[in-house]
Order: sequence, then C-alpha cells, then structure tokens
Amino acid sequence: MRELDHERVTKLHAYFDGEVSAAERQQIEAEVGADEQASSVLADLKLLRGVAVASFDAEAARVPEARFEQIWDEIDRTLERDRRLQRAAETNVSVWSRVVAFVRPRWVPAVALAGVAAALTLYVTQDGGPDERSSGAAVVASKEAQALTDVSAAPAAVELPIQNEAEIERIEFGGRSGRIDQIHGKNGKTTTVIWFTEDDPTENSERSL
Amino acid sequence: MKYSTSMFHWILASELATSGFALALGSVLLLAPEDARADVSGANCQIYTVLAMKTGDGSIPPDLEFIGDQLRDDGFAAFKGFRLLESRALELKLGATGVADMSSGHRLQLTLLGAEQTRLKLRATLQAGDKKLVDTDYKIEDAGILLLGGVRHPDGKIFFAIQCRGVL
Repeated sequence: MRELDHERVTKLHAYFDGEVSAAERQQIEAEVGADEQASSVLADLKLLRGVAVASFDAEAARVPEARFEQIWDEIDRTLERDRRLQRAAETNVSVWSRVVAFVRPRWVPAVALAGVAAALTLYVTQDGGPDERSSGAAVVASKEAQALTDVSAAPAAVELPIQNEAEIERIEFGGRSGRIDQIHGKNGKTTTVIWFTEDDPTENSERSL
Repeated sequence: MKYSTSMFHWILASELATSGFALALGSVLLLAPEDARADVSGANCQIYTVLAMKTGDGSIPPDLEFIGDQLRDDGFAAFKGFRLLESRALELKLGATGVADMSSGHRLQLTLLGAEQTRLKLRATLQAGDKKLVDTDYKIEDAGILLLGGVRHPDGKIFFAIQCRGVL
C-alpha cells in the first residue's frame, strides 16, 4: 500500500467538501473504491466532521434562545447601518450643498457670535426674578399624547444642552440585567441610555437589549 | 531711563486694564443665571413614554423629533417605528420626591437631590408593582434628557425620556 501524497490528500479534502468537478468526483470515487488508504482518509474526515458537528450542537444547546435573538439583533443593526451608509453614499451632492459646505465655516462663527450677543441682550433686559412655579408639593399633571400628526402637541422646542451626557453616580438594576449606553448624536450631543431587562420566569426568549 | 519708566507704567496700566476687564467678565459670568443653578429650589420635569416598535417604516413622528437624533442611532436600529404614548409633568421641590404613575403600569419616582453649577442631581426610580427595575442617582445638565428603557410590550419595548429644568 503506497503512501498518499499531499496532492491526493488535498484532492480528497476537496472531494469531501464538494469542491470538485463532476469529472473529478467520478475519478476520485473510482480511486477510493480501489484504494484502502484513500478510503481511510475519507472515513477519518467523516469522523472528524461528526465530532465537530456534535460539539457545535452541544455548544448551541447551552446557549439560551435569548442569545440567538441578541445575535440576530446585532445582525439586523449591522445590516441597517450598512444600508444607511449605502444610502448616504448614494445621495447626490447638489451644487447648493457644496455652496453651503463652503460657506459654513465662515457663517457658523458669525451666527455663534450673534447668539452670544442675543443671549447677553436677553440677560441684561430680563428682570431676573425667581420662577414662580416652585411652590407646593410635587404635583403630577398628566396628558395623553395627542394625534401623532398634531405638531402642536409635540414637546415644545426641546433643545438639548451641549453636554447632554448624564453622569451616573449610582445605579441598581432590579431586573434580569441592565447596562448603560451612550448615544453620540450627529449634532455632537451625547445622550445616556439606561437599558434594563425585566425578569420573566416563564419566558426564556426575552432578548436583552 | 525716563523712557523705560514710562514704558513700565504703560505696560502696568495695560495689564491692569486687562485684569479689570477679566474681572468684570468673570463677575458677569458668576452672576449669570446659568451658574446660579446651584441655588435651585426645584425642577420642572417632563417624562415622555415612548413605544419602540419592531414594525414600521423607520420614520420618526413629529412629536418625537426632539429625540429623533437618538432614535436614529444604531442603538435603536432594532426598532422600526416609534410612538409617543404619554407625556407627564412633574414639579419637584428640592429634596422632595415626585411620583408619576405611568399608563404602562409602571411607577417613576423622581427626586431633586441638588444642583451643581449648571447640572441637576436627580434620583430616578422605576418600579413595576413592588419591584424596582432601576434605581439610579445621576447628574445631568439642565434640560438634559436621560433615556430609560426596556419595559416589555407586545409590539416592542417601552422607554422613558426624562427631562428636568431647574427652577430658581
């Protein structure tokens, strides 16, 4: 019985992985039928695959469904991000956009200066009296959200401060898990998000955000 | 020599003028209302309940545009639609706790612990029944928004946007 050379072993691997042409497959099958050593190599490959698959299956069985859902979430996020980037890349840049981009470095400082002047003017002209709404115990006022298209019902001019990031000094999660995220907005403002996962003793598929 | 002395005086006068201007500017800044936040007596808070849905066209409704930048972030990419379910106002006195029973069945307690310069120090506690889901102390810039989420909902997740403004 002759030793199998490297090239033949490689071909057997390719055959095993289904990466050979029909003609090559026929030729290899004919050889394997007559060659005990080649047959042995294929048997070893089958055994190896079986062990690996069983190992992966066992590993997968230990992973809760929630983890798979997390993984799908991550995949969805990645695809969505790629789509956004693709859309952004495909957006035609108009002449006006270029003009605005050219002018922006010049007018932004001017607008900022005007803003500072306006703020100073406002400060000087205001009476500076304390807010009159600060009396009484904590009051709860409630209003249900109006029709979604009713812009007037939207929160009135909520302008976030430049440093919007929250400094978490202490936190306790009572649910299954929790985490603190930071969202870095395109406007340069960072927002803190506290995510938590509620306990669910009967359901094991709740995904952790 | 005389020239040197007058030059020295000129430099000294210039330095004094600069220092005086800096002092005046510093005084204005110190007296500015923003920095007076350390004397807040209370805070007006707004709590928005938002439903993040797994279905939708990805657009942000007008009444949530104020946090549109955040909702368009990858952190919310798993959600395709958003809806403002409710908004509530809480007026807090310094050291007092305001309670908001949300329509989602959750109770959100907010306490104004204090203020440092332009930042408010708050305690937020979210409860589902008797169980605390989150209990946190945080500092945030006046009018800053903290997002707090993960409440289970058949269509997705509910989160709360908390925004407080200090009251002098």
